[in-house]
Amino acid sequence: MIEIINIIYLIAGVTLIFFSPTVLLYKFKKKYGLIFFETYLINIILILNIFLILSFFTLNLNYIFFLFIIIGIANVFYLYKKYNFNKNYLFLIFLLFSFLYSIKIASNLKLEWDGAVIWIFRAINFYEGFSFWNLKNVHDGSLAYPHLGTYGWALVWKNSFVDYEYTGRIFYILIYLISICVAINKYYFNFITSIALVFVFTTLTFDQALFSGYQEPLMFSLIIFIFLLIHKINKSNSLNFLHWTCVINANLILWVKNEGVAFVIYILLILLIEKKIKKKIKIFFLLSFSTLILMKFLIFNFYFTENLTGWKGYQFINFNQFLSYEILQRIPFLIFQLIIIFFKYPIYIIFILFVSYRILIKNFKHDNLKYLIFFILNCLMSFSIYYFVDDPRWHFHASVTMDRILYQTSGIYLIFILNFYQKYFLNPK
Amino acid sequence: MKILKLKLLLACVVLLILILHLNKSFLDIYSLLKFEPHERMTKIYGDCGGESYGFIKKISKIYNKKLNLRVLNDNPNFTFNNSTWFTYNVNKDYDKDKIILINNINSLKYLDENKYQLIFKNKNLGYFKILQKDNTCFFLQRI
Repeated sequence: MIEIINIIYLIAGVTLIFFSPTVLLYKFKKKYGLIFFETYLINIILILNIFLILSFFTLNLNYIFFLFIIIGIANVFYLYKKYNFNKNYLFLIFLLFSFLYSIKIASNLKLEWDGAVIWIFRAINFYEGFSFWNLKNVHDGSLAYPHLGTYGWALVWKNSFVDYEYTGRIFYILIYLISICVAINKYYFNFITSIALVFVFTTLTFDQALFSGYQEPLMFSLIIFIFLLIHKINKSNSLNFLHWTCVINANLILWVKNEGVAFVIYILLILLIEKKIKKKIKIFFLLSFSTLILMKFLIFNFYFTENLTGWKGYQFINFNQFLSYEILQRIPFLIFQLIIIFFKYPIYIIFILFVSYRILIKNFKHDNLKYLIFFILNCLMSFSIYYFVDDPRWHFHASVTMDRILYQTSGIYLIFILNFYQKYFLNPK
Repeated sequence: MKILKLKLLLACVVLLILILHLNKSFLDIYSLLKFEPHERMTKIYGDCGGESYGFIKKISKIYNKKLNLRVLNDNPNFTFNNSTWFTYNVNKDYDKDKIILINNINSLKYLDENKYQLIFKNKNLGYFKILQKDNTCFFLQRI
Protein backbone atom coordinates (compact mmCIF):
# COMPACT_ATOMS: atom_id res chain seq x y z
CA MET A 1 0.00 0.00 0.00
CA ILE A 2 2.85 2.35 0.85
CA GLU A 3 4.08 2.03 -2.74
CA ILE A 4 0.72 3.10 -4.17
CA ILE A 5 0.62 6.10 -1.82
CA ASN A 6 4.19 6.89 -2.81
CA ILE A 7 3.28 6.80 -6.52
CA ILE A 8 0.36 9.18 -5.91
CA TYR A 9 2.64 11.49 -3.93
CA LEU A 10 5.28 11.55 -6.68
CA ILE A 11 2.72 12.17 -9.42
CA ALA A 12 1.28 15.04 -7.37
CA GLY A 13 4.76 16.39 -6.63
CA VAL A 14 6.01 16.42 -10.21
CA THR A 15 2.67 17.74 -11.51
CA LEU A 16 2.89 20.61 -9.02
CA ILE A 17 6.50 21.37 -9.99
CA PHE A 18 5.39 21.91 -13.57
CA PHE A 19 2.71 24.39 -12.46
CA SER A 20 5.34 27.06 -12.12
CA PRO A 21 5.91 29.62 -13.49
CA THR A 22 2.29 29.97 -14.69
CA VAL A 23 2.01 33.33 -12.88
CA LEU A 24 4.73 34.78 -15.06
CA LEU A 25 3.17 33.36 -18.19
CA TYR A 26 -0.30 34.66 -17.43
CA LYS A 27 0.25 37.88 -19.35
CA PHE A 28 0.97 35.79 -22.48
CA LYS A 29 -2.25 33.81 -22.07
CA LYS A 30 -4.44 36.26 -23.95
CA LYS A 31 -1.72 37.63 -26.19
CA TYR A 32 -0.94 34.25 -27.77
CA GLY A 33 -4.25 32.51 -26.99
CA LEU A 34 -2.62 29.95 -24.71
CA ILE A 35 -4.94 27.32 -23.28
CA PHE A 36 -4.17 25.59 -19.98
CA PHE A 37 -2.18 22.66 -21.36
CA GLU A 38 -0.14 24.95 -23.61
CA THR A 39 0.88 27.02 -20.60
CA TYR A 40 1.70 23.77 -18.83
CA LEU A 41 3.82 22.70 -21.81
CA ILE A 42 5.78 25.97 -21.70
CA ASN A 43 6.22 25.51 -17.94
CA ILE A 44 7.74 22.08 -18.53
CA ILE A 45 10.16 23.45 -21.12
CA LEU A 46 11.24 26.26 -18.79
CA ILE A 47 11.55 24.02 -15.72
CA LEU A 48 13.49 21.34 -17.61
CA ASN A 49 15.91 24.02 -18.80
CA ILE A 50 16.33 25.16 -15.20
CA PHE A 51 16.98 21.52 -14.22
CA LEU A 52 19.55 21.31 -17.00
CA ILE A 53 21.38 24.31 -15.57
CA LEU A 54 21.09 22.98 -12.00
CA SER A 55 22.58 19.65 -13.09
CA PHE A 56 25.92 21.42 -13.56
CA PHE A 57 26.01 22.32 -9.86
CA THR A 58 26.26 20.13 -6.78
CA LEU A 59 22.90 20.82 -5.12
CA ASN A 60 20.66 18.89 -2.79
CA LEU A 61 17.88 17.24 -4.83
CA ASN A 62 15.49 17.26 -1.87
CA TYR A 63 15.72 21.04 -1.55
CA ILE A 64 15.24 21.51 -5.31
CA PHE A 65 12.18 19.22 -5.33
CA PHE A 66 10.45 20.88 -2.41
CA LEU A 67 11.34 24.41 -3.46
CA PHE A 68 9.73 23.85 -6.86
CA ILE A 69 6.70 22.18 -5.26
CA ILE A 70 6.16 25.23 -3.04
CA ILE A 71 6.44 27.56 -6.03
CA GLY A 72 4.05 25.26 -7.91
CA ILE A 73 1.47 25.33 -5.11
CA ALA A 74 1.65 29.13 -5.01
CA ASN A 75 0.95 29.18 -8.75
CA VAL A 76 -2.03 26.85 -8.40
CA PHE A 77 -3.61 29.02 -5.69
CA TYR A 78 -2.99 32.22 -7.58
CA LEU A 79 -4.43 30.99 -10.84
CA TYR A 80 -7.06 28.51 -9.69
CA LYS A 81 -10.02 30.47 -10.99
CA LYS A 82 -8.33 31.93 -14.04
CA TYR A 83 -7.62 28.53 -15.59
CA ASN A 84 -10.73 26.69 -14.39
CA PHE A 85 -8.83 23.59 -13.30
CA ASN A 86 -11.93 21.90 -11.94
CA LYS A 87 -13.51 21.86 -15.42
CA ASN A 88 -10.37 20.68 -17.14
CA TYR A 89 -11.32 17.02 -17.42
CA LEU A 90 -8.38 16.23 -19.70
CA PHE A 91 -6.15 17.07 -16.75
CA LEU A 92 -8.03 14.48 -14.68
CA ILE A 93 -7.59 11.96 -17.48
CA PHE A 94 -3.88 12.78 -17.49
CA LEU A 95 -3.66 12.11 -13.73
CA LEU A 96 -5.59 8.86 -14.07
CA PHE A 97 -3.36 7.53 -16.86
CA SER A 98 -0.25 8.70 -15.01
CA PHE A 99 -1.28 6.52 -12.12
CA LEU A 100 -2.11 3.53 -14.33
CA TYR A 101 1.19 3.64 -16.21
CA SER A 102 3.21 4.33 -13.07
CA ILE A 103 1.87 1.19 -11.41
CA LYS A 104 2.67 -0.67 -14.61
CA ILE A 105 6.30 0.43 -14.26
CA ALA A 106 6.26 -0.43 -10.56
CA SER A 107 4.88 -3.92 -11.04
CA ASN A 108 7.41 -4.77 -13.75
CA LEU A 109 10.43 -2.80 -12.65
CA LYS A 110 13.09 -4.39 -14.86
CA LEU A 111 15.71 -2.13 -16.41
CA GLU A 112 16.36 -3.01 -20.02
CA TRP A 113 19.78 -3.19 -21.66
CA ASP A 114 20.93 0.44 -22.10
CA GLY A 115 19.09 1.42 -18.96
CA ALA A 116 21.14 -1.01 -16.86
CA VAL A 117 24.43 -0.46 -18.67
CA ILE A 118 24.54 3.28 -19.33
CA TRP A 119 21.70 5.42 -18.03
CA ILE A 120 21.26 4.07 -14.50
CA PHE A 121 24.85 5.00 -13.62
CA ARG A 122 24.20 8.59 -14.64
CA ALA A 123 21.03 8.61 -12.55
CA ILE A 124 22.98 7.20 -9.57
CA ASN A 125 25.54 10.00 -10.02
CA PHE A 126 22.85 12.66 -9.56
CA TYR A 127 20.98 10.60 -6.95
CA GLU A 128 24.11 10.59 -4.79
CA GLY A 129 24.33 14.36 -5.03
CA PHE A 130 27.03 14.76 -7.68
CA SER A 131 26.83 17.06 -10.67
CA PHE A 132 27.36 16.74 -14.42
CA TRP A 133 31.11 17.31 -13.96
CA ASN A 134 31.41 14.10 -11.98
CA LEU A 135 30.01 11.92 -14.76
CA LYS A 136 33.50 11.10 -15.98
CA ASN A 137 34.10 9.21 -12.70
CA VAL A 138 31.06 7.00 -13.17
CA HIS A 139 31.41 3.28 -13.80
CA ASP A 140 31.76 2.30 -17.47
CA GLY A 141 30.49 5.78 -18.22
CA SER A 142 30.09 6.24 -21.92
CA LEU A 143 31.11 9.84 -21.56
CA ALA A 144 29.61 11.16 -24.74
CA TYR A 145 25.99 10.60 -23.69
CA PRO A 146 23.91 13.60 -22.57
CA HIS A 147 22.26 13.49 -19.18
CA LEU A 148 19.08 15.58 -18.86
CA GLY A 149 16.66 12.65 -18.57
CA THR A 150 18.73 10.95 -15.89
CA TYR A 151 18.71 14.15 -13.82
CA GLY A 152 14.89 14.08 -13.76
CA TRP A 153 15.00 10.36 -12.98
CA ALA A 154 17.34 10.96 -10.03
CA LEU A 155 15.37 13.97 -8.78
CA VAL A 156 12.14 11.98 -8.46
CA TRP A 157 13.89 8.85 -7.14
CA LYS A 158 15.69 10.87 -4.46
CA ASN A 159 12.40 12.30 -3.21
CA SER A 160 10.56 9.01 -3.11
CA PHE A 161 9.65 7.30 0.17
CA VAL A 162 10.40 3.96 -1.42
CA ASP A 163 14.07 3.81 -2.25
CA TYR A 164 13.94 1.97 -5.58
CA GLU A 165 15.08 3.42 -8.87
CA TYR A 166 11.77 2.70 -10.66
CA THR A 167 10.15 5.55 -8.73
CA GLY A 168 12.34 8.00 -10.66
CA ARG A 169 11.08 6.69 -13.97
CA ILE A 170 7.63 8.09 -13.15
CA PHE A 171 9.17 11.34 -14.40
CA TYR A 172 9.27 9.93 -17.96
CA ILE A 173 5.67 8.67 -17.69
CA LEU A 174 4.38 12.09 -16.70
CA ILE A 175 6.14 13.99 -19.48
CA TYR A 176 5.09 11.36 -22.02
CA LEU A 177 1.42 11.58 -21.02
CA ILE A 178 1.48 15.36 -20.90
CA SER A 179 2.75 15.44 -24.49
CA ILE A 180 -0.16 13.26 -25.61
CA CYS A 181 -2.70 15.31 -23.64
CA VAL A 182 -1.35 18.62 -24.99
CA ALA A 183 -1.70 17.31 -28.54
CA ILE A 184 -5.29 16.21 -27.86
CA ASN A 185 -6.19 19.36 -25.95
CA LYS A 186 -5.48 21.42 -29.04
CA TYR A 187 -8.77 20.20 -30.57
CA TYR A 188 -11.34 20.61 -27.76
CA PHE A 189 -12.77 17.11 -27.85
CA ASN A 190 -15.47 16.13 -25.35
CA PHE A 191 -14.77 13.94 -22.31
CA ILE A 192 -15.56 10.57 -23.87
CA THR A 193 -13.61 11.33 -27.07
CA SER A 194 -10.66 12.67 -25.05
CA ILE A 195 -10.40 9.62 -22.81
CA ALA A 196 -10.80 7.32 -25.82
CA LEU A 197 -8.08 9.20 -27.71
CA VAL A 198 -5.68 9.15 -24.75
CA PHE A 199 -6.30 5.41 -24.44
CA VAL A 200 -5.84 4.75 -28.16
CA PHE A 201 -2.71 6.88 -28.48
CA THR A 202 -1.07 5.44 -25.39
CA THR A 203 -1.88 1.94 -26.62
CA LEU A 204 -0.28 2.80 -29.95
CA THR A 205 2.82 4.47 -28.52
CA PHE A 206 3.46 3.12 -25.02
CA ASP A 207 6.36 0.70 -25.23
CA GLN A 208 7.08 -0.65 -21.76
CA ALA A 209 10.63 -1.68 -22.70
CA LEU A 210 11.47 1.93 -23.55
CA PHE A 211 10.26 3.10 -20.17
CA SER A 212 12.74 0.70 -18.61
CA GLY A 213 15.61 3.12 -18.37
CA TYR A 214 15.79 4.40 -21.95
CA GLN A 215 15.61 8.08 -22.82
CA GLU A 216 13.44 7.63 -25.90
CA PRO A 217 10.10 8.53 -24.24
CA LEU A 218 11.49 11.90 -23.16
CA MET A 219 12.73 12.61 -26.67
CA PHE A 220 9.33 11.47 -28.02
CA SER A 221 7.62 14.07 -25.82
CA LEU A 222 10.02 16.94 -26.48
CA ILE A 223 9.60 16.49 -30.22
CA ILE A 224 5.81 16.64 -29.86
CA PHE A 225 6.27 19.84 -27.79
CA ILE A 226 8.40 21.53 -30.42
CA PHE A 227 5.97 20.66 -33.22
CA LEU A 228 3.06 22.07 -31.22
CA LEU A 229 5.11 25.22 -30.69
CA ILE A 230 5.87 25.45 -34.41
CA HIS A 231 2.10 25.40 -35.03
CA LYS A 232 1.74 28.23 -32.55
CA ILE A 233 4.57 30.42 -33.86
CA ASN A 234 3.22 30.18 -37.40
CA LYS A 235 0.52 32.59 -36.33
CA SER A 236 2.87 35.33 -35.09
CA ASN A 237 4.80 37.69 -37.32
CA SER A 238 7.39 39.21 -35.01
CA LEU A 239 10.01 37.62 -32.83
CA ASN A 240 8.43 36.84 -29.47
CA PHE A 241 8.38 34.69 -26.37
CA LEU A 242 7.14 31.61 -28.27
CA HIS A 243 10.14 31.68 -30.62
CA TRP A 244 12.44 31.71 -27.62
CA THR A 245 10.50 28.81 -26.08
CA CYS A 246 11.03 26.90 -29.32
CA VAL A 247 14.78 27.52 -29.05
CA ILE A 248 15.04 26.35 -25.44
CA ASN A 249 12.97 23.31 -26.34
CA ALA A 250 15.55 22.51 -29.02
CA ASN A 251 18.19 22.88 -26.32
CA LEU A 252 16.45 20.17 -24.27
CA ILE A 253 16.37 17.85 -27.28
CA LEU A 254 20.15 18.20 -27.59
CA TRP A 255 20.71 17.22 -23.95
CA VAL A 256 18.58 14.10 -23.90
CA LYS A 257 20.29 11.93 -26.51
CA ASN A 258 22.97 12.33 -29.16
CA GLU A 259 20.44 11.79 -31.97
CA GLY A 260 18.99 15.08 -30.74
CA VAL A 261 21.50 16.94 -32.92
CA ALA A 262 20.05 15.32 -36.04
CA PHE A 263 16.47 15.99 -34.90
CA VAL A 264 17.27 19.65 -34.18
CA ILE A 265 18.78 19.99 -37.66
CA TYR A 266 15.60 18.51 -39.22
CA ILE A 267 13.45 20.88 -37.19
CA LEU A 268 15.62 23.79 -38.30
CA LEU A 269 15.18 22.70 -41.90
CA ILE A 270 11.42 22.57 -41.43
CA LEU A 271 11.43 26.06 -39.90
CA LEU A 272 13.53 27.37 -42.79
CA ILE A 273 11.14 26.09 -45.46
CA GLU A 274 8.03 27.19 -43.54
CA LYS A 275 6.30 29.83 -45.69
CA LYS A 276 4.58 31.62 -42.83
CA ILE A 277 7.77 32.37 -40.92
CA LYS A 278 9.49 35.63 -41.78
CA LYS A 279 13.07 35.74 -43.03
CA LYS A 280 14.51 37.50 -39.99
CA ILE A 281 12.94 34.90 -37.69
CA LYS A 282 14.41 32.15 -39.84
CA ILE A 283 17.84 33.75 -39.39
CA PHE A 284 17.18 33.90 -35.66
CA PHE A 285 16.43 30.17 -35.59
CA LEU A 286 19.44 29.36 -37.74
CA LEU A 287 21.80 31.30 -35.45
CA SER A 288 20.30 30.15 -32.15
CA PHE A 289 20.06 26.45 -33.08
CA SER A 290 23.62 26.49 -34.44
CA THR A 291 24.87 28.16 -31.24
CA LEU A 292 23.17 25.51 -29.09
CA ILE A 293 24.61 22.65 -31.13
CA LEU A 294 28.07 24.23 -31.00
CA MET A 295 27.81 24.84 -27.26
CA LYS A 296 26.94 21.23 -26.52
CA PHE A 297 29.69 20.02 -28.84
CA LEU A 298 32.26 22.24 -27.12
CA ILE A 299 31.26 21.19 -23.59
CA PHE A 300 31.56 17.50 -24.45
CA ASN A 301 34.71 17.92 -26.51
CA PHE A 302 36.62 20.04 -24.01
CA TYR A 303 35.55 18.34 -20.84
CA PHE A 304 35.08 14.71 -21.85
CA THR A 305 37.16 14.88 -25.08
CA GLU A 306 34.48 12.73 -26.62
CA ASN A 307 31.61 13.27 -29.02
CA LEU A 308 29.60 10.36 -30.25
CA THR A 309 28.13 9.59 -33.66
CA GLY A 310 26.27 6.30 -33.80
CA TRP A 311 27.59 3.95 -31.12
CA LYS A 312 31.00 3.64 -29.42
CA GLY A 313 33.64 2.73 -32.01
CA TYR A 314 31.38 3.76 -34.91
CA GLN A 315 33.36 4.22 -38.12
CA PHE A 316 32.23 5.09 -41.64
CA ILE A 317 33.07 2.84 -44.58
CA ASN A 318 35.45 4.23 -47.21
CA PHE A 319 33.95 6.43 -49.89
CA ASN A 320 34.82 3.95 -52.65
CA GLN A 321 32.80 1.23 -50.88
CA PHE A 322 29.51 3.15 -50.95
CA LEU A 323 28.19 1.32 -53.96
CA SER A 324 30.15 -1.89 -53.63
CA TYR A 325 28.20 -5.14 -53.97
CA GLU A 326 28.92 -6.09 -50.36
CA ILE A 327 27.43 -2.85 -49.01
CA LEU A 328 24.51 -2.78 -51.46
CA GLN A 329 23.47 -6.16 -50.09
CA ARG A 330 22.50 -4.38 -46.89
CA ILE A 331 19.61 -2.56 -48.56
CA PRO A 332 16.96 -5.36 -48.51
CA PHE A 333 17.68 -6.14 -44.86
CA LEU A 334 17.43 -2.49 -43.83
CA ILE A 335 14.22 -1.92 -45.78
CA PHE A 336 12.77 -5.03 -44.16
CA GLN A 337 13.78 -3.68 -40.74
CA LEU A 338 12.01 -0.42 -41.49
CA ILE A 339 8.83 -2.26 -42.43
CA ILE A 340 9.00 -4.35 -39.24
CA ILE A 341 9.36 -1.15 -37.19
CA PHE A 342 6.33 0.43 -38.89
CA PHE A 343 4.31 -2.56 -37.68
CA LYS A 344 5.89 -2.43 -34.23
CA TYR A 345 4.82 1.22 -33.91
CA PRO A 346 1.55 1.26 -35.90
CA ILE A 347 1.36 5.03 -35.64
CA TYR A 348 3.61 4.93 -38.73
CA ILE A 349 1.19 2.73 -40.65
CA ILE A 350 -1.70 5.06 -39.82
CA PHE A 351 0.41 8.07 -40.81
CA ILE A 352 1.42 6.50 -44.15
CA LEU A 353 -2.21 5.59 -44.90
CA PHE A 354 -3.49 9.08 -44.09
CA VAL A 355 -0.71 10.79 -46.07
CA SER A 356 -1.36 8.51 -49.05
CA TYR A 357 -5.06 9.31 -48.85
CA ARG A 358 -4.38 13.04 -48.80
CA ILE A 359 -2.01 12.79 -51.76
CA LEU A 360 -4.49 10.64 -53.69
CA ILE A 361 -7.36 13.07 -53.25
CA LYS A 362 -4.93 15.91 -54.04
CA ASN A 363 -5.49 17.60 -50.74
CA PHE A 364 -1.92 17.53 -49.47
CA LYS A 365 -1.28 21.05 -48.19
CA HIS A 366 1.98 22.83 -47.48
CA ASP A 367 1.11 22.66 -43.76
CA ASN A 368 1.45 18.90 -43.83
CA LEU A 369 4.74 18.93 -45.67
CA LYS A 370 6.72 19.22 -42.45
CA TYR A 371 5.49 15.83 -41.24
CA LEU A 372 6.36 14.18 -44.52
CA ILE A 373 9.81 15.81 -44.63
CA PHE A 374 10.50 14.77 -41.07
CA PHE A 375 9.37 11.23 -41.83
CA ILE A 376 11.55 10.93 -44.93
CA LEU A 377 14.61 12.48 -43.27
CA ASN A 378 14.28 10.28 -40.22
CA CYS A 379 13.87 7.10 -42.27
CA LEU A 380 16.87 8.09 -44.37
CA MET A 381 18.97 8.78 -41.29
CA SER A 382 17.97 5.49 -39.66
CA PHE A 383 18.82 3.71 -42.89
CA SER A 384 22.14 5.52 -43.44
CA ILE A 385 23.52 4.86 -39.95
CA TYR A 386 23.62 1.13 -40.67
CA TYR A 387 24.32 1.37 -44.39
CA PHE A 388 27.48 3.44 -44.02
CA VAL A 389 28.96 1.79 -40.92
CA ASP A 390 32.19 -0.14 -41.10
CA ASP A 391 31.17 -2.85 -38.67
CA PRO A 392 30.60 -6.54 -39.42
CA ARG A 393 27.83 -6.56 -36.78
CA TRP A 394 25.80 -3.85 -38.57
CA HIS A 395 22.73 -6.10 -38.82
CA PHE A 396 22.78 -6.75 -35.08
CA HIS A 397 22.94 -3.00 -34.37
CA ALA A 398 20.19 -2.35 -36.92
CA SER A 399 17.87 -4.93 -35.40
CA VAL A 400 18.27 -3.68 -31.82
CA THR A 401 18.54 0.09 -32.20
CA MET A 402 16.77 1.19 -35.38
CA ASP A 403 13.33 0.89 -33.81
CA ARG A 404 14.31 3.23 -31.00
CA ILE A 405 15.49 5.93 -33.41
CA LEU A 406 12.14 5.82 -35.17
CA TYR A 407 10.15 5.67 -31.94
CA GLN A 408 11.59 8.97 -30.72
CA THR A 409 10.01 10.95 -33.52
CA SER A 410 6.80 8.96 -33.91
CA GLY A 411 4.91 11.34 -31.60
CA ILE A 412 4.66 14.10 -34.17
CA TYR A 413 2.49 11.92 -36.39
CA LEU A 414 -0.12 11.97 -33.62
CA ILE A 415 -0.58 15.67 -34.38
CA PHE A 416 -1.01 14.92 -38.07
CA ILE A 417 -3.50 12.12 -37.30
CA LEU A 418 -5.45 14.38 -34.93
CA ASN A 419 -5.58 17.05 -37.62
CA PHE A 420 -6.87 14.49 -40.08
CA TYR A 421 -9.39 13.11 -37.59
CA GLN A 422 -10.74 16.56 -36.84
CA LYS A 423 -10.92 17.58 -40.48
CA TYR A 424 -12.56 14.47 -41.90
CA PHE A 425 -14.57 13.07 -39.00
CA LEU A 426 -15.56 16.02 -36.83
CA ASN A 427 -15.73 18.86 -39.35
CA PRO A 428 -16.11 17.05 -42.68
CA LYS A 429 -17.14 20.23 -44.50
CA MET B 1 -32.04 15.35 -16.10
CA LYS B 2 -31.12 13.37 -13.00
CA ILE B 3 -31.47 10.07 -14.90
CA LEU B 4 -29.34 11.43 -17.73
CA LYS B 5 -26.59 12.39 -15.31
CA LEU B 6 -26.79 8.96 -13.71
CA LYS B 7 -26.51 7.29 -17.10
CA LEU B 8 -23.50 9.42 -17.96
CA LEU B 9 -21.87 8.55 -14.66
CA LEU B 10 -22.55 4.88 -15.28
CA ALA B 11 -21.04 5.13 -18.77
CA CYS B 12 -17.92 6.74 -17.30
CA VAL B 13 -17.57 4.01 -14.67
CA VAL B 14 -17.97 1.27 -17.32
CA LEU B 15 -15.42 3.00 -19.54
CA LEU B 16 -13.01 3.31 -16.65
CA ILE B 17 -13.33 -0.36 -15.70
CA LEU B 18 -12.83 -1.32 -19.34
CA ILE B 19 -9.65 0.76 -19.58
CA LEU B 20 -8.34 -0.63 -16.29
CA HIS B 21 -9.00 -4.15 -17.53
CA LEU B 22 -7.48 -3.66 -20.99
CA ASN B 23 -4.47 -1.98 -19.42
CA LYS B 24 -4.06 -4.89 -16.98
CA SER B 25 -4.12 -2.33 -14.17
CA PHE B 26 -5.92 -4.68 -11.77
CA LEU B 27 -3.08 -7.17 -12.16
CA ASP B 28 -0.50 -4.42 -11.64
CA ILE B 29 -2.21 -3.23 -8.44
CA TYR B 30 -2.48 -6.82 -7.23
CA SER B 31 1.23 -7.33 -7.87
CA LEU B 32 2.09 -4.14 -5.97
CA LEU B 33 -0.05 -5.07 -2.99
CA LYS B 34 1.00 -8.70 -2.86
CA PHE B 35 4.79 -8.44 -3.34
CA GLU B 36 7.32 -6.14 -1.70
CA PRO B 37 9.66 -4.32 -4.14
CA HIS B 38 12.54 -6.56 -3.04
CA GLU B 39 10.48 -9.64 -3.90
CA ARG B 40 9.54 -8.22 -7.30
CA MET B 41 13.17 -7.35 -8.02
CA THR B 42 14.26 -10.88 -7.07
CA LYS B 43 11.50 -12.37 -9.21
CA ILE B 44 12.60 -10.32 -12.23
CA TYR B 45 16.37 -10.36 -11.87
CA GLY B 46 16.70 -13.75 -10.19
CA ASP B 47 18.13 -14.80 -6.83
CA CYS B 48 21.06 -16.70 -8.26
CA GLY B 49 20.63 -16.77 -12.03
CA GLY B 50 20.32 -14.05 -14.67
CA GLU B 51 21.38 -10.82 -13.01
CA SER B 52 21.25 -12.49 -9.55
CA TYR B 53 19.76 -9.56 -7.65
CA GLY B 54 18.96 -11.64 -4.55
CA PHE B 55 22.50 -12.96 -4.08
CA ILE B 56 24.19 -9.60 -4.75
CA LYS B 57 21.91 -7.78 -2.30
CA LYS B 58 22.51 -10.44 0.34
CA ILE B 59 26.28 -10.02 -0.01
CA SER B 60 26.09 -6.22 0.03
CA LYS B 61 24.29 -6.37 3.39
CA ILE B 62 27.09 -8.34 5.07
CA TYR B 63 29.89 -6.52 3.26
CA ASN B 64 31.42 -3.29 4.56
CA LYS B 65 30.43 -0.80 1.86
CA LYS B 66 33.57 1.30 1.78
CA LEU B 67 34.34 0.06 -1.71
CA ASN B 68 32.31 -1.13 -4.68
CA LEU B 69 32.17 -4.84 -5.34
CA ARG B 70 33.06 -6.05 -8.81
CA VAL B 71 30.48 -8.43 -10.21
CA LEU B 72 31.71 -10.93 -12.79
CA ASN B 73 28.70 -12.02 -14.73
CA ASP B 74 29.60 -13.63 -18.01
CA ASN B 75 27.00 -12.98 -20.63
CA PRO B 76 28.01 -14.28 -24.04
CA ASN B 77 24.55 -14.24 -25.62
CA PHE B 78 23.05 -11.02 -24.25
CA THR B 79 20.50 -13.07 -22.34
CA PHE B 80 20.71 -10.83 -19.30
CA ASN B 81 22.36 -7.53 -18.56
CA ASN B 82 24.50 -5.64 -16.12
CA SER B 83 24.34 -6.49 -12.40
CA THR B 84 26.83 -3.90 -11.17
CA TRP B 85 24.28 -1.13 -10.59
CA PHE B 86 22.41 -3.03 -7.83
CA THR B 87 24.96 -1.94 -5.22
CA TYR B 88 27.04 0.65 -7.07
CA ASN B 89 28.18 3.88 -5.40
CA VAL B 90 29.69 6.75 -7.36
CA ASN B 91 33.30 7.85 -6.63
CA LYS B 92 34.21 4.68 -4.76
CA ASP B 93 36.93 2.40 -6.04
CA TYR B 94 36.38 -1.27 -6.63
CA ASP B 95 37.55 -3.70 -3.96
CA LYS B 96 40.53 -5.50 -5.48
CA ASP B 97 40.36 -8.39 -3.05
CA LYS B 98 36.72 -9.30 -3.13
CA ILE B 99 34.69 -10.36 -6.15
CA ILE B 100 31.18 -11.62 -6.77
CA LEU B 101 31.07 -14.34 -9.41
CA ILE B 102 27.68 -15.08 -10.91
CA ASN B 103 26.45 -18.01 -13.05
CA ASN B 104 29.89 -19.23 -13.87
CA ILE B 105 31.09 -22.32 -12.05
CA ASN B 106 33.51 -23.18 -14.86
CA SER B 107 35.65 -20.12 -14.08
CA LEU B 108 36.67 -21.53 -10.70
CA LYS B 109 39.38 -24.15 -10.74
CA TYR B 110 39.47 -26.24 -7.55
CA LEU B 111 42.96 -26.47 -5.99
CA ASP B 112 42.07 -27.35 -2.42
CA GLU B 113 39.34 -26.68 0.15
CA ASN B 114 40.34 -23.05 0.63
CA LYS B 115 42.03 -22.27 -2.63
CA TYR B 116 40.52 -21.76 -6.07
CA GLN B 117 42.01 -20.26 -9.20
CA LEU B 118 39.73 -17.77 -10.95
CA ILE B 119 40.00 -17.69 -14.74
CA PHE B 120 37.36 -15.39 -16.21
CA LYS B 121 37.09 -14.96 -19.98
CA ASN B 122 40.52 -16.61 -20.43
CA LYS B 123 42.12 -14.16 -18.00
CA ASN B 124 43.81 -15.42 -14.86
CA LEU B 125 42.55 -13.25 -12.01
CA GLY B 126 44.50 -15.04 -9.25
CA TYR B 127 43.76 -17.27 -6.27
CA PHE B 128 40.66 -16.95 -4.12
CA LYS B 129 38.77 -18.61 -1.29
CA ILE B 130 34.99 -18.83 -1.17
CA LEU B 131 33.41 -16.65 1.52
CA GLN B 132 29.84 -17.39 0.55
CA LYS B 133 28.23 -19.70 -1.97
CA ASP B 134 24.71 -20.12 -3.27
CA ASN B 135 24.31 -22.59 -6.15
CA THR B 136 26.38 -21.03 -8.95
CA CYS B 137 26.91 -17.67 -7.24
CA PHE B 138 30.10 -17.03 -5.27
CA PHE B 139 31.49 -14.33 -3.04
CA LEU B 140 35.26 -14.63 -3.30
CA GLN B 141 38.19 -13.28 -1.26
CA ARG B 142 41.67 -13.01 -2.77
CA ILE B 143 44.38 -14.98 -0.95
